[in-house]
This record gives sequence, C-alpha cells and structure tokens, in this order.
Amino acid sequence: MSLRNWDSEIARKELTRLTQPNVLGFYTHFEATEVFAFPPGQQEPINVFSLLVAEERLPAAPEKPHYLTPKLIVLKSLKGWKIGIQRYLKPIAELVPAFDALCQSNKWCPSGDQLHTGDLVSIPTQFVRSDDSGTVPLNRVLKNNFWNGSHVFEWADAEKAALQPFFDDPPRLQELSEAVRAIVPLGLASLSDRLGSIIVQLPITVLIAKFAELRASGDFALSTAWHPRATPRPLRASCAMEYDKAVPAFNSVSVEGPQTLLPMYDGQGLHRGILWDDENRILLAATGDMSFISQVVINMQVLDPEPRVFTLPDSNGGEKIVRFGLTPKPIKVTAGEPKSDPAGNWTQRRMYREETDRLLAERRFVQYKPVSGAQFHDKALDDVRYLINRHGEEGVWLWDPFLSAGDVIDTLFYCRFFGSDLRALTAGSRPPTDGPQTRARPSCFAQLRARIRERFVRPEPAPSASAQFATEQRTTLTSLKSNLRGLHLEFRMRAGSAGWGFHDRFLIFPAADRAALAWSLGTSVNSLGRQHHILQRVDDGQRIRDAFVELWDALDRPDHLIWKTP
Amino acid sequence: MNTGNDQLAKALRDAAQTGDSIAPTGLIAAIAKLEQPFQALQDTDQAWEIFSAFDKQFGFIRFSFMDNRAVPNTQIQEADQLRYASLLRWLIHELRTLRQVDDERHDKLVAIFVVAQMCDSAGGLWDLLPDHIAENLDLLDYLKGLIASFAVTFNSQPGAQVPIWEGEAVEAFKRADAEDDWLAIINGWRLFHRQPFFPNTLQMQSVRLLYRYSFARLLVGLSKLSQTPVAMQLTVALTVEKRFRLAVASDNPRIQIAALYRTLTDERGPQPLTNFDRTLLTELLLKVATDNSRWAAWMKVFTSYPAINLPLGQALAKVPDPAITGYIDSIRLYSKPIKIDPGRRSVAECLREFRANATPERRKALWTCAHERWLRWDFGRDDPNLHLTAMSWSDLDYALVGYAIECLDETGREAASNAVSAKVQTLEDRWHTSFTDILAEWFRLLSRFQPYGHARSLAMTGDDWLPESRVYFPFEPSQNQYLMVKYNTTWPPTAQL
Repeated sequence: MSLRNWDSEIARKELTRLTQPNVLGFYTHFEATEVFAFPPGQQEPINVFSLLVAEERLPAAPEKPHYLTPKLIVLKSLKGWKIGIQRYLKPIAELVPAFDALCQSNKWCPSGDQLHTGDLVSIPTQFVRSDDSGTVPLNRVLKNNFWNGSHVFEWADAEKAALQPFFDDPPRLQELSEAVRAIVPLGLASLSDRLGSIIVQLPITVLIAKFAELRASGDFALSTAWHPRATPRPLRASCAMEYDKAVPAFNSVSVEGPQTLLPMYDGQGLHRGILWDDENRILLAATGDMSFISQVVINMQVLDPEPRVFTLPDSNGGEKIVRFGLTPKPIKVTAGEPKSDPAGNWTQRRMYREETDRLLAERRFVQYKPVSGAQFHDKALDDVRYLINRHGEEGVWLWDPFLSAGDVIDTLFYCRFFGSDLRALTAGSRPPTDGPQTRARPSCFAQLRARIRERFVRPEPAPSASAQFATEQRTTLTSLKSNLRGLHLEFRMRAGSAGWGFHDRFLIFPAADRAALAWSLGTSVNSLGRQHHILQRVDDGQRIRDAFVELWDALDRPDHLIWKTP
Repeated sequence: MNTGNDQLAKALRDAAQTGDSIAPTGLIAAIAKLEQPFQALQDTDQAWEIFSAFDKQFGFIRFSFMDNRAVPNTQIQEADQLRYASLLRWLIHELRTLRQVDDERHDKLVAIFVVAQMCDSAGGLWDLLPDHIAENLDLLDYLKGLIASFAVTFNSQPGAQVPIWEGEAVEAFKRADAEDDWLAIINGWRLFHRQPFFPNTLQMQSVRLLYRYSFARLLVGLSKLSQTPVAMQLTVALTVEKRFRLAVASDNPRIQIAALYRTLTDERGPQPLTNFDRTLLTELLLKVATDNSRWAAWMKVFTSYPAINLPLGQALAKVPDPAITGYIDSIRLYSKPIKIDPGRRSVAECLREFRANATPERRKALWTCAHERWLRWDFGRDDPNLHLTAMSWSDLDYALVGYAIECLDETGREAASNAVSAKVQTLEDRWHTSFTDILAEWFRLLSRFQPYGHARSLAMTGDDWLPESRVYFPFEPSQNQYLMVKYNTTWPPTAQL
C-alpha cells in the first residue's frame, strides 16, 4: 500500500487492522455521539459533527440511539435551525460496515436513520497525543484522550456548504458550541474546521505508557503496564531532547519490562518520548515537549489585615471611600537546583532576548477614541490600575509633565503592593484650558482642589507658578483623608533649570532581577480616555527606566519635592 | 513542707480559738486616702498601692503562697502565725457584721476583699471559712446586686490610633454579642485571645464569696449579665468543677459558653478534666442540647477540642434527636491524606464513647446522619476548585464504618461495595473534561469504597472501627498494575503510620 495516496479504501483497511484485539486495545463497541441539525424547512437531519469512539465495554452494553437533548436546541442567533445530540452504542463489528455503506452509497446511517452528510473525504489517520505537555486542538472534540493518545480517522466535509451559516456569523458557532458543551464536553467553536466531519477515535488502551524523569538520577524513564488481556510484545522507546532547535541528546532502547531506562546526557532542553510497536507498525504512545521542574521559587506572604483607605469626592458632590486590601512583599524561597549550562547562561540569555522580541513584536495595544463624558476616562484609569496591580510588585513610576496630585491619587494610590516603590514625576504644567478635557465637567479632583483652595489657601503675594503648583498639589495630598497604609510614594517636579524638559508620558515598572517594563500612555493621566490616544507597551522598558532615573536623580533638591509619604 | 493553704488552714483553726483581732491598719489607712476605693480593686495601679500597704504589715502571707521550688523556706514564723490568726479573726468578724449602710464609701468591703485576695492566693480561703458568715444577708444581697452590675466597655486600644481591621473586629464582636450569635462571638473572641482577660479582685472575691455562701444569689446576680466578655472574666474566678456546676445551674447562656470555653482554652495549658468534671460537662451539654440553634453553634465551636470528646460522646447518647444533626454538621469535612491523623482519632474517641452509651436505635440514627452527610459531601464534589489527587479519608470514617456495620447487613454491605465497583468499571465510559477530572473521580470512588471495605474486613481482622492501617480496593491491585499505573495510584496499599 502506498502511504502517499490515502483513500477511503485504505482507511477502511487500516480501521479493520487497528480495531483487532491486542493491537491498540480490546474494543468491543463503539460509542457514537452525533451532533445534528435541522435547517429551516428541512425534515431530515444533517451532520454537524460526529464522533465514534472505540471502547471496551461490558458485554450487555449496547445502547439504542437516544437523544441527549430532550428538546431540540434552538439558537437565538440562527433562526429556524434546531440542533440535537444523539448517542448510541454499537458492537465494534458494525464500525467498518458503517463506513462501507458511507463509501458505497454516500449514506451515513449506523444509528438506523440516515444522517445527511456533505461530500466526505477520508484523510490520513493521525496520532493525537494527550494534553499532558501542551494543548492539542483536536482533543477538544475527542473523548477522554488522557493517556497514551489515540489514533484518529476522519471523514471530512471539505465544502461544509450546509453549515455555511455558522461561518457567516461566528457568534452563531459560539452559541452552538456553548449549547452542545452544556451536554457533552465538545469544543466545536474552537475547532470549526471539523464541522461536518465524522471522526473515529481509537484510544490506545492495550498498554499504559508514562514517560518521566527519575528524580534521583535525572535519567529519562518509561513505565509501562499492559492491559490484563494483552499479550506483551517487543516495543521500542525513544527519546529526543531538543534545545535551541538542535537535538543535543537522543536514545532509543527496546522495552522489555515495566520500567525502561533511557539514559540521556543532562541538558537544558525539552524531551519528547515515543513508543513504537514494530510488529504492528504503529505508534503506541508519544508525548509533546516535556520539561521537568528542577527549581521552584515560592513566594511566601504574611497576610496584612489592614486595608488602605482613602476618601475621594464623588460625582454627586459627596464622598466615596476607596478601600482595598494590600499585597505584602513576598519572601522568596527557592527550592531545588537549576540545571546548569557548562557553557554559562549565554545561550539562555540570547533565547530569552529573542523570545522577548517575539512577544514585543506581538504587542497588543489599547486605543481610546474621543468620546465626551467621563465614562471612558474611568475605563482608561481602570486599565492603568490593572497594569499597576499586574506588574507593580516592586515599583511603579509615573512620568507625565501634566501630572497632578489628583492624577497620582487616581493611579498610584491604587497600587495594592505593600511598600512598592511608587514615584511620580511632573513638570508642573497645567493641561491646556481649551482642550476637550476641560470642556467636560470639572473632575472630582478639580472640585476637591477648588474646595481646598477656598478653605485653606489664604491670598498672599503671588509665588512663582511652579511653587504655587507644588503648594496646591501638596495641599491636596496632605488633606486627603487616608491611612496611607503601605504607601511608599514620592512625588517630584521639575522646577527651574534643573534637569531637562520632557513631553512623553510613561508608566514604568522597574524590576531588580529582570528588564523593566514600560507603557506609553499616549496622553496625560488627566486626559486618559477623554481624547484619542493609544496605551501601548514600549519595546525597551529598561531604557525608559534608565532615562527616568537620570532625570529623577537630577531633581533632588528640596524645591523639587512636592510630597512624600511620612 | 506546708503549702500556703496548709498554713492558712492552721491559722484559721487558731482563729477559731479565743484571741485578739488585728485589723490591717496600714491597708485601711491607704484605702481611706482613695477617692473611690472600689476603683482601686479594678485598677492595677491603684491596686498595687493598697496591696503594698497590706504587704508592709502582713507580707508573710504573700510569702507563704510562693512557689516552694523558687523560695525554699516559706514557713511562717511562730509570731507571724499568731498575727495571721488575729487577722483572720478580724476578717471573719467583718464578713459577719459588715452592713452597707455603715460602709457607703466601701472602705471596709475593699479592705475585706484585699485581705481575702491575699489569703486566697491558692484558691482555698472560702472553703475554709466558717459557715455562719452566710448569716450576713445584707452583705450577700449587696454582692448579688454588685455582680449583676458588672460590665465592660469593650473598645480597641482607647486613645491610640486604632487599626481599621481591629476597630471593625471589635464592632463585629459587639454586634454578635448583642444578637446572641454564639459562633461569631467565639470567633470574634479568638481574635482578642492575647489580651489579658482575667477577673479583677472585686469580681473574683465577689463570685467566690457568693459561690460559697449563697449559690442562689450568685445565680440571680449572673442571670442579668448580658456581656460575654464579663462572663469570660467571672467564670475563671472559679475552679473547673465549680464553673461547670455554675454553668449547669445557670440559665444564662453566656455563663455556660464562657465556662466551657475558658476551660478548654486555659492560658496556663490544658487542664485535664476529672471524672466528675466530665460528668458535669455531660450535664451541661445535655442542657444546651435542648436549644437546637445554640447547640449547633456550640458544636461548631467545641468539637475540635479533644477534652470534650468523652463527655460529648455520653451526651450524644441522650440528646434530643435534632441535636444529632447539629453534631454531625459541625464536623469539618475535607479530604484527609491516608495517614494517622489526630482529628480523625479525636472524632473516633467521641464516637467510641457514644457507641458504648447509646441505644442501638440512637446509634443507627447517628451513623445514618453521618452517612447521609458524607454522601452529600462526596469528597468535595461540588467545589469546582477541589480535585482529589489521592485516595482520602475523612473525619467521619468511624461513623461510616458504624453505618456499614450496624445499619447494613452483609448483603447491604456487599451491595454498597458493588455499587462503587460498578462505577469504577464504567468510569471511562463517561465523558470527562480533563485528566484532572477523571483522576479526581477515580480517587473519589476509591475513597468512597474505604468505609465499606473496612467494615467487611472487620469480621476477619477484628480491627478497630477507625481504619488507620490499611486501604481497600474494589479490585485486586496486585493483579491490576494496568489500572494502578493508569491512575497514578500507589501500591502497596499501606497507610503511612
């Protein structure tokens, strides 16, 4: 038989061969799960997806076709369509004849009633491993494929013409998938390419094989246990280690007992194990890339029962209390020893850099379009707070020429990490008065500042603009009702000729043991969500961090300090 | 070597003879200088001053109660022994003759209580004093009213900046106390367990005096107490036996819960209960069991204390039927690894005592109740965040084996085992969302099999009802390595002893 020219006849022969006892398992029955649909005005069902699983069942097992859906499912997003799920159990001997009938008469009716299908083509059998070492998409529509893996035969509907409405509007497919998933764990939405298919799953149950790394020696090992009815036969196990697209280690041995050692040189890579049955020319197990944990870092935290609380004016002229629990600085405990690279960590560092570049190339960004009203300002602030609480464990630095005390409260005050190094740097500039943001109702903080000014600030000879700005910000912060719990914040401004002017706005997350991260805000905190801007991660956070530090250190005179926590 | 109480007893025998009385003049003079003498008994700083005044005149009494190992010779000298008797004559006379109308500032009562406190350092004074003090009804009535007036202002760190959580905890406790939410009261109280909460001299001596001379008045006085913190203070004025007697006689639920809680959480370390203490505690539990909601709260608070096991086991044999559910529901169910576990042993100890005292019908009722709860729980089936990764036991295992033995016959036990076996056999016929899911189901079935397997083995092994040394499989594991490897199940099936 030519392996390159797969067709239904070859599939039929392979199915016959592989369902024989002692080859892959001891199949007695096959369980069919058919998702079918009645399109509008159609009296006969069409196949949406069918899965036939070869199984070893108790002798009295056959089940007549029955609906898993007591009532047909009606989709809101696809009017007139009705969906059902049928299940039945047949003797394994009826499996191949069912496909004979399909090939000869293009009729699919193992349940006894015809289920209309598209023009199906047989595609070469596939081995589908379990999700143990990474998700395998096809497992979303297979049954219990948790061990050695399964061989899968598929008759695919290349046209999917009858199912086109599901492709015209993806939410329909999502609704279909959710409705089906409520009854059977089939993930059709994320495997739409299989719609219209009939799949036969032959789980490998003739033996159980598990690849693992021996903790004591570090060797790779295979544990096997044959099915109680199986006749053990010679098998071959092989293992390859891949690192940096190369194969630094490989071994292949014959399997002769329940434990088989595959000695391998120690190294950094990921392992892949394969178990081959030479007698039957078939894979009996295969893994994905397996990594074994040699070192674990455990973050231990002592819970802090005391929340951070501060009071802000609300939009109705009253007050709202902001309150949240803090995350203390973790104590890091490292267990185990990392695998060492005798050539040093140069390769790992290069690979890390390449990986980071790849991730950066795929950076996502959030775009805010100008919409009047404060609703999007709150949304944008929430996005910034999310980033702060996602990455701000060690520190959060906010760099914005228009940054005010209110902006600092709106952002850095929300950092949940106890004692995180919070820094704010402003140029003391006031936002343009005719910008779109000023046409909006004054912000809560503008109201607060006005109230504080009225109450506390006495008329006096006009100070310099920057001194007046600093005073106002300081007044806002010192008069805030808050316990300042766990807040380690310093707010500086550029004044006079020290340092240099700046225009861009950044949110920076410095980190001691890895490269810093930085996001460009695209606008001032005050204008977040109020005018068009894009919040996006910048490529080289470390350079932004270094630039911030350079300016921060240059602004170290008392007149540069607006406020810091006691 | 004579103890402080031995020397006190001798002094009291001497005092019964005719002789002089000596008043504690230094103490009386110090009290006379105080603006509010009563306050001195409740304020540590002021108390120190008046107790010092007493020590200057009768320091040998404090010395006589000191720990003999630390102070080798605490024997009172002959001359001081005479003065001791004379002081006790004064004390007895004052206790017999004190009239409130003559003691508006309470100078005399304060002096009496200071002297009593010093002589009562080992808790032996009041039992040794003569009975006729009980004739001073004026004093007894006054103390009854005084006890009823005891109250505490329960604030967190007055004057200091109070942490938010602490202030909220205090408020929550006060609310719970006002609403008789017993579980919340004890949970709240536990947050403050590091605070010194002992009776002051006024509270301690009032309670001890009334316990000795007018138990009825003590009960009436305590019946009006509405603050659990006060009950927590007053109950420790008495020995364990006396506080249990008081709790049994009292109808005040605060006194009852405080008596047990302070006994079980004694700051000085666990005090073993005597047989008589246990009998009283059983009586107390039976009294509380008539109030179903309070009983349920009590069970949630107290079943984790092993000291309660035997009295509780006896009480469970007699409590009203609904109280059985309260007990079973109080046992925290979570999957326990296959190894010796103090929690399982503690529950088993209680249930062994129950089994020895209960009627067959009562036993069946409790085992059935436990079995039904265990089936509902089913090793955390309803918790989506919980996944069994190993065979497990639970704290109810003793009762479950009891169910299999006493509520099922051999056919029933076999049927229960076979039902689990059938589910194991068809486990892979059902659809599972992940390996974690099927693995959890596998271990759930094996765990469910354990009590039935143990019950069926008892006829041959004669083991205790609590399975601790072996586990059971619905198949022969040595013949079925395939399943064992498939489901990451270890073999041989021995528990970690």
